[in-house]
Amino acid sequence: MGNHLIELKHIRKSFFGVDVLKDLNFSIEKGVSTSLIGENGCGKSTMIKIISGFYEFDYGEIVINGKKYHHLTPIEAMHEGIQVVYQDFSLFPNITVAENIMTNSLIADNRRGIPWKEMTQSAKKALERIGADIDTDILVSELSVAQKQLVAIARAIVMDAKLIIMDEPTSAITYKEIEILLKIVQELNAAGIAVLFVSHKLDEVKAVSKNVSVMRNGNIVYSGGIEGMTQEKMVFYMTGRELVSRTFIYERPNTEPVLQVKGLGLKNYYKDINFDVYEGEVVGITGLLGCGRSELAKSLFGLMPCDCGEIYMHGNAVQIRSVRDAMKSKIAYVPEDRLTEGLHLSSSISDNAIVCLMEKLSSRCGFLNKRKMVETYQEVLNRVSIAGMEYDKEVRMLSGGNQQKVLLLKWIATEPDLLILNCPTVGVDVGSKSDIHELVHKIAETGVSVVVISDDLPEIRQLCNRAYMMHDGMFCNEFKISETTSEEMEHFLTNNIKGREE
Amino acid sequence: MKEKKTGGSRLKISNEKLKFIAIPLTLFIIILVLDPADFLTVGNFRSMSFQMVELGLISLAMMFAFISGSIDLSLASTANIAAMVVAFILKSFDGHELTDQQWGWVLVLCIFAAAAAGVLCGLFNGFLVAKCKLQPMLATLGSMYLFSGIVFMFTQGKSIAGFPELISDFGNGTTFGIANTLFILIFVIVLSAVLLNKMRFGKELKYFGTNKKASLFSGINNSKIMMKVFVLCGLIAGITGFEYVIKINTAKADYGASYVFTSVLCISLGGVSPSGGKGGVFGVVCGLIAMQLLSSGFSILGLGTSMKNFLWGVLLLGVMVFNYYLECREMKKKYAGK
Repeated sequence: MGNHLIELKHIRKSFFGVDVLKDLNFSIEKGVSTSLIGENGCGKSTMIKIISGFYEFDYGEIVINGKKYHHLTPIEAMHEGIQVVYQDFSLFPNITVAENIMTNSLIADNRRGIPWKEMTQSAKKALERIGADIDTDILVSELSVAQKQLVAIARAIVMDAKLIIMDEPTSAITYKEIEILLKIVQELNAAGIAVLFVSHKLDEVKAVSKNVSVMRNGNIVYSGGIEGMTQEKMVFYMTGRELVSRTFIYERPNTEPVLQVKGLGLKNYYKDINFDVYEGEVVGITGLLGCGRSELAKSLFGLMPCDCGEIYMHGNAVQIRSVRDAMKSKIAYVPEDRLTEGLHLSSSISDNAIVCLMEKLSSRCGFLNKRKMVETYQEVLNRVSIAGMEYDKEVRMLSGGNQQKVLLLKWIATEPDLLILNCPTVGVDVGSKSDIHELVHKIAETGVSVVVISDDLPEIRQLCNRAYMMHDGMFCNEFKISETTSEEMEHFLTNNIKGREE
Repeated sequence: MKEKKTGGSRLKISNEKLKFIAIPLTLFIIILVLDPADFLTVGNFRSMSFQMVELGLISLAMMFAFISGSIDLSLASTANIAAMVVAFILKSFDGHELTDQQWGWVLVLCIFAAAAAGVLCGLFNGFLVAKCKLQPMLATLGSMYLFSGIVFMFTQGKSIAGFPELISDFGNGTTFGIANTLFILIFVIVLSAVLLNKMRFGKELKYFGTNKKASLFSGINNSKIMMKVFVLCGLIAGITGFEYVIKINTAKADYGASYVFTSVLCISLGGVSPSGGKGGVFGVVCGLIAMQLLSSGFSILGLGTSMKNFLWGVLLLGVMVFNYYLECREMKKKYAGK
């Protein structure tokens, strides 16, 4: 017990009445790397922000180096040697590498003047410690993603870090860079610096850490050594269910495809995209962040019109230059970010449900048909059970999963022929996730074609009957889910990256 | 006036309305208690009803801008442009021997000309915001100077006055004991309420004001909404210009510039939020009455109008802080329940 660097005891935290952390207990040993895994929305980020003092916790205590805290401010956390390398690294793009590395420590030391020479030297030293060869005099905006990450780690080291928290550090970097990162983590451990490694990927977790904790629904459900952890066990702990690999069974009807895309391209984002989607089919498009998948979806919905190529709906060529064009062609799009792009958060649930139907719900001269409005939203919202549902309630009062259901229902209400889902279950709890999957399958069974865009391979496997893999703006593989194992898909995903590296 | 929100519980809405009524009602009672003899006179109410028309019209226009999440600073200047147009028309008919009925037609012409001038100004603002993608605050700040500059140029900074007596008689006259100009306000109130609550435009306007991006993603034509809002603002401002010319018999370049800011005060009291998406005609009318009661109440009590600005400020800040406090308490209650 004595060598705990940090211990969280009975931590509770809620946002807007929703409990995010429920009586959470967690600890990290000195100089050891621990992995934290869990599904999106399980409370990982909240826990990290509590450890770094960014959020106050409602109840419980944190013990750091034997000192008890009932409130923890960001400054206190910093003084205790807790440093976070966020997903976006929080660097200043417009100043040099050296300044970025040293700014925080200068501020922490309360120094007014800027000792330029000393600063550059210390920055160089910090970069050397992690074996990074980066010019300290160039601007951060000129660095690659992986280099930025190294700068962020160097900044943490300069701050005398005892614990470095890395929030999904491998999600945006390439295969080779990941290997370098894993090596750095081991070196940090050797130097007595503990690392909390947040990740989804079991092989990385195994390579890097001694202990692993699994989080689910605001609780740590498993904590222990890494030995004996398998993919199945991990998924079980993460989701609370045995993974049933029940694929979506689909038989292609003898009709022409609902959507046909030929040679579609948009400069700088994607090129030469060809695919088709048949009636009632659920087709996945997967690939890493930045591969062009979101832009492709936005082009199909008229938000980022394509430069070249053709789109056919039911065999007829269509021009999609705006959202209204897309809606006319009976295309619906559930955006990635439900909070800013999807929902009108401070409007009522009922208003959100009918926002796309305004044209149908008003007369030709623009008067609303109130009775029809009420009938419509009741019908729309009663398709699925939504916890905490009151027609009049502001939609922001719902949990992420239920918000997502409202968003999905709002688009289903437009009776589309093609439904495009961009990361439909990001930040959604496990229960709602399976509800949403079920809903998507139900919709597909009524003949609606669905395109699912996601980087979550298990989700693609559960939802789709067919999937395309996208890399660097192009489709590189096509899979029939029932004929491909998840290892094969995983393999292709990493191989694509490798291929690019070499 | 404000329709029950779709499917909502009646109780909650009426609570909100109660909050809006509370302010003018409290003021009313205070003044009533302090000086019932001067306050409760027909003359007093009549003069109040005369005074509040311009602020009321500008406030309603500003309400639409606020609900869309923008602001229109050029409202008073637009009104002055319309007023100038009306003044020129009246001047050109001055000296002609016209019958009463013919003057009536001239007035109708004036209304349409004022409305058209306002709509043109609104189109210009709408073009700047919806097509050139300027920030509404900066765009309308620019057009505010531009419009009043135009009036200055045409009038050489002098006020245009001296219209036929008939016009001012009409503008200051009453029908069934109600000021003629008040009918204009009532008409615009009803129009606004219908637009906001009964029409697709009002619904889409609220969606747009709540979240512009989500509206775009939901197939709402954002630039069309923005355009309509500024045209509507211009239209109401144009009518305001007509109203004050026939009432005070003068048009000049810098008349009523302060109305832009007092209208923000007025609609904020009425629960219209500058961040967009929230607000209704009922609240605005309550806010308007509250402001009018304060300003005339204090002149009745012999405190003069010197205190007016001070008290308007106190009232607005007080109400805002109080509302914030209430909201916090409500939130806390909700959390505690869980």
